[in-house]
Amino acid sequence: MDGIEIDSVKGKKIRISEDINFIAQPGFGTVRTAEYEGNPCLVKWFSREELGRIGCGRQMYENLTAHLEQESPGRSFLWPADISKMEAGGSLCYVIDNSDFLTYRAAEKEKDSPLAYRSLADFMERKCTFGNWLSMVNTALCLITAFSQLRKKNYNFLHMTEDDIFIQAKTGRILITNMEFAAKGKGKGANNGGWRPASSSRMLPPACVMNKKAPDRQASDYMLAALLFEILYLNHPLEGYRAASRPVMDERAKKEIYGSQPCFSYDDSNQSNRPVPGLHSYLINFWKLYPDYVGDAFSDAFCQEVLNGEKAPIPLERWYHIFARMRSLIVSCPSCGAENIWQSGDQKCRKKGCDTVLKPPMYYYIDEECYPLFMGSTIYRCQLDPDSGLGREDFYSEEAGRFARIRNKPSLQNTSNQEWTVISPDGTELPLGFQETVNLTDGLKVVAEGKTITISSKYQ
Amino acid sequence: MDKYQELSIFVCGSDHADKQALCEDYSAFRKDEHFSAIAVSTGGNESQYFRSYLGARFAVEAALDSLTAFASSVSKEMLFADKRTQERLLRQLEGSIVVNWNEKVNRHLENYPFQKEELDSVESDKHRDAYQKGIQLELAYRANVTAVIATDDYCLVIRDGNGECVLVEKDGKPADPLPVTRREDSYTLCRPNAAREFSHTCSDTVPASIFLVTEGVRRCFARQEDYHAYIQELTQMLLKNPGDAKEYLKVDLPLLSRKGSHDDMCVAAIWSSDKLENGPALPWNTEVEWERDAEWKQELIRHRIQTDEEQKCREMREAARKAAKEALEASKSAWKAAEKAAGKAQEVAQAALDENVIKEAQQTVTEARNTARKADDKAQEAGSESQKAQKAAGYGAIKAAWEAAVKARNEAQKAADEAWGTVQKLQGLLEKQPLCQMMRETAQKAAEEARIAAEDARDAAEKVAGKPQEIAKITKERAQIKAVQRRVKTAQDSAQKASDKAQEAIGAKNAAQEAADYEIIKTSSTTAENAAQEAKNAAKEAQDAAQEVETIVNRIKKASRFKKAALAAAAVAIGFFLFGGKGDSDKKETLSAVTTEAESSLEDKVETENQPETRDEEKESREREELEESIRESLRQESVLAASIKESLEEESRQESLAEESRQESLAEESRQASLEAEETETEPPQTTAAPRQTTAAHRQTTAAPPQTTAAPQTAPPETAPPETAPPETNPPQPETPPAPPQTAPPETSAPSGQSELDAANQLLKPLQ
Repeated sequence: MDGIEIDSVKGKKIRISEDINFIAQPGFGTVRTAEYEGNPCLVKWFSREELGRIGCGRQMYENLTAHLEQESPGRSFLWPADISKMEAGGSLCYVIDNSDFLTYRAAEKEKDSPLAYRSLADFMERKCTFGNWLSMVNTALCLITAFSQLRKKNYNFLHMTEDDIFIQAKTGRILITNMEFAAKGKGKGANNGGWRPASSSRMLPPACVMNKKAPDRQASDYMLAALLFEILYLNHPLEGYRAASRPVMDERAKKEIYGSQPCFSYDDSNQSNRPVPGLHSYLINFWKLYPDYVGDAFSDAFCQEVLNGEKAPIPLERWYHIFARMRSLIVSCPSCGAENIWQSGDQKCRKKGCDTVLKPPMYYYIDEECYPLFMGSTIYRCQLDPDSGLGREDFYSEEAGRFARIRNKPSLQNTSNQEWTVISPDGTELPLGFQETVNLTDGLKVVAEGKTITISSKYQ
Repeated sequence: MDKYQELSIFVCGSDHADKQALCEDYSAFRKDEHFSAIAVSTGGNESQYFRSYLGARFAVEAALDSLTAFASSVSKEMLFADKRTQERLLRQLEGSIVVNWNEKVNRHLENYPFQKEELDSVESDKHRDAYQKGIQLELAYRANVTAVIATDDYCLVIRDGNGECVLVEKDGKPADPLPVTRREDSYTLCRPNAAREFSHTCSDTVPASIFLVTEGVRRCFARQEDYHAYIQELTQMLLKNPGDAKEYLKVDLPLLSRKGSHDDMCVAAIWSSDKLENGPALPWNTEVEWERDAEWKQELIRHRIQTDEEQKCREMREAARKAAKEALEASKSAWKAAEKAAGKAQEVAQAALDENVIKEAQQTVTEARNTARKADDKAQEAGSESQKAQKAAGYGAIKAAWEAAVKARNEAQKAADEAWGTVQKLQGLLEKQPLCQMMRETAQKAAEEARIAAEDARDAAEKVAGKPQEIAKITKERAQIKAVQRRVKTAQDSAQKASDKAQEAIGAKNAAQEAADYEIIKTSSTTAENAAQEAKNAAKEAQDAAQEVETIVNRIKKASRFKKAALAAAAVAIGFFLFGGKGDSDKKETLSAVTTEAESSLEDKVETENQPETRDEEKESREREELEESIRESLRQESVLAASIKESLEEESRQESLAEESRQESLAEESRQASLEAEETETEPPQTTAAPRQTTAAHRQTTAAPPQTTAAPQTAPPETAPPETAPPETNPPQPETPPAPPQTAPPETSAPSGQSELDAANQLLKPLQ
């Protein structure tokens, strides 16, 4: 078999075929199929020229070598399992310890598959779309989980592009491919040794873009906010009129827009960088469509104080809460099936031509936050106790209960493995075990995992 | 970079040229040491895109601005680093074009908001409403854009819309790097996703020449080969003589538009002679080919000229046919007008009372029919001229026939207009008939009113005619009589004037009844109304004068009655006086004097009362009562006074007798005590006797001035005590004190009316004292 055979630092052989083996193109390098000790695997490959362009090949190599001693923080990372030996002026590749990418390739021929992983950049360039809003919100929750996992291991990203985040459009699962830039921090505010690629990252906070500060935990929080904004609005938060009016986005322009003169496109106090019709239509339309509290959160995340470094970015716990709440507000129209985000009271279906009024038969309250109660709605565990499972794999999708019509009566089923307590309106307390149901009445309370779920027929 | 040359030209299409509309295509080029850029744009054609000619210009400018910046920053290595990078660079470039175009449009809108005329010209209600609400204003500037930039080492084509690009490679073969899809026909810069609708291509080699043309040029050719042949022909011309080529295009593109798409035409090109000459030989790039091409070119031009002449003849024949048709329509219209005029005349005959009007209407109908006949003749003439034009062979004959047909058409149309004018005239006549009747009635009414007013005035004047004679019997005051006479005269004059105006109104009424013309009737009616109004005014003046005469006469009569009452009062007083005392001839004289005095006093009062402007009825009655009361009071006082006078006279006679006795005694003792008695006589006895005299004298002196004593006693100062408040017996003897000075008397103007009678009574008593 033709190809290149490379020795790994673990003393094993990596064979890279010269056939068409291109899988994906992240921000730097390429993901290819290869053989690792005769078994098929995926590798991330950096050519010699590319390493030269990046300008920090040696630090990358050392960083990746250090990763070998650590376990992967989670399923969402293309964590290195082995790495080629570094030769002076040579190429670099590392074996990826993640089977998902191999299973659902993002290759060109499979790009139409809903299970294929596509980069966030592809979504932003409308080359693909999310299956539905639920998968989009799941993507956001998955990304928050991934960042939480990284934080637990004290890793921060030194560089990030939309090409480094791969998303499974149907499920919302993500893969982060730039592990070479996930560097171990030395506590809060650590400078990670001060290395980074030659080109600026649009995801880093302005202080880091201007090289005034090395990426740290706060930079990761800022990066998370920017990525979440891009997932929701398919546009960079700082890219409005100012960026669009430039024929070429060179390094100087990047420094100005993301570093020296940053301005959020929906900044309340500065309208000079508003989105442009004809260019940012998606952002313009969806800014109005999503709930106000989501827009407010992003306004806080990219306010001038945060951009100037005077205020800390929004922590990921808050983002987790925001998106967990948002997921519970997504309801399907009973007539046309279109997804709607319920905001308050009765509202019309957003689909043109469908005049159905979405009227929840009942509401449930958790921590004074109101959710519509439609039959088939799910109560997720992350709604009840977000802090306990934050960072745990798939915690965001774990169900705790489900509303269903049982014997033609609206009921709540306990789908968690914990026992709940039902308090009827007259004060009677009853236990509710796994798979058990209780008929819903106005004023009914259910104590689940320390939180009280109150059923009400009124919207307050 | 190779020596590239640029050309850009845009001309109005035949459709727009015929409508004298603006060219909605635009093209331009820009060059630098390292690049050449060209761009073409087509504006929207419909009425709602009324600023698309500006939108096209903005699009070209925005594209050239962005391409210039792009070429300055992006090298071949950057552009061709990888597909993803290239795609992102070009998306950024295209986005900037959209943003810059929007910015230019918005800036223009700020400076030049939509005008009412522009909005009125929009045929689509939907778009007009949207513009009025300020929605999607940029749609009015709708335009697409196609642009090319050729640098030293790469060539880039971008397009939003359906502009065509043809690259002519070094071997002379044309190629279409971005074939237009059907969907792209609707792509413009004002669409919501304009930036994502761009298509682009780039090459790391630069062709020999690049042509950009708008849709109008491309649609002139049915086949792709013909279109490419045309581009090759242009390339050849540009290589041979660029100046001529531009002139040729200026002439050729409008003709091409007229024969083909009828749309606006726009061509922009970049070419390099070096590349073509140094590259592979072009199939036509030989001397033989050049000559053959020149012959072909001349033949083509000849053919085009011939074609143009035939086209002109066809157009002329068509125009003649059109003129004949229009003349026929004018003729029909004239006959229709004549029929309508006849109908109107019938209506006039029914509505009008005047025979002249009916005759006039009939004449108008005849006139309309004659005009219609004339239009008919002219239509026939135009028809025959049109036929001549169809049969004629030469352009001159056709033109002459066309001119004759047009002339006949114009006359026919003029005749039709005249015929319709007669209908208008009759309509006017018809509409005026009820008005005439109304005017006549108005004149009649006015004349009747004037007559009544004149009679009223005459009655009033007659009623007061004898008043001067009547008043002369009552009073002898000439002023009063003259005043009455003056007013009587005024009443008579006004009555005469009213009579004259009534005559005038009647004359006007007669004129209105007799006239047929609306204007005359209207004038007569107005005259009658004015005369009636003046007659009414004169009658009112006469009545007012008569009323005044009556008032004056009544007042004089009233004054006469007062005078008689005063005389009676005076007579009572005198009678009382006479009854109580001396009755000799002096008293008769006194009576006569008192009577005269009372008369004059009352006449004064009457004169005062005769000032109508300073008196009113209420005041008059109040004064009359006061006068009567004062007369009664004066009579009472006179009786008291007469009694006191009687007593004083008796006392005086007693004192005189006592004085006579004492004088006799004093004469006897005079001889004894001459000096002492004389002193005693001066100091004591005369004091007691002199006092009443002094008092009486003082009293007399006070009452001796009748004019002054008419002053109001109430307003007199304390030292000028009125006579009635200072009875003689209470006055202390003050020989050295002078009597009440006359100069202290109050002014006469404030005298009450009753005081004069009292004074008159005092005056009456004066001779008796």
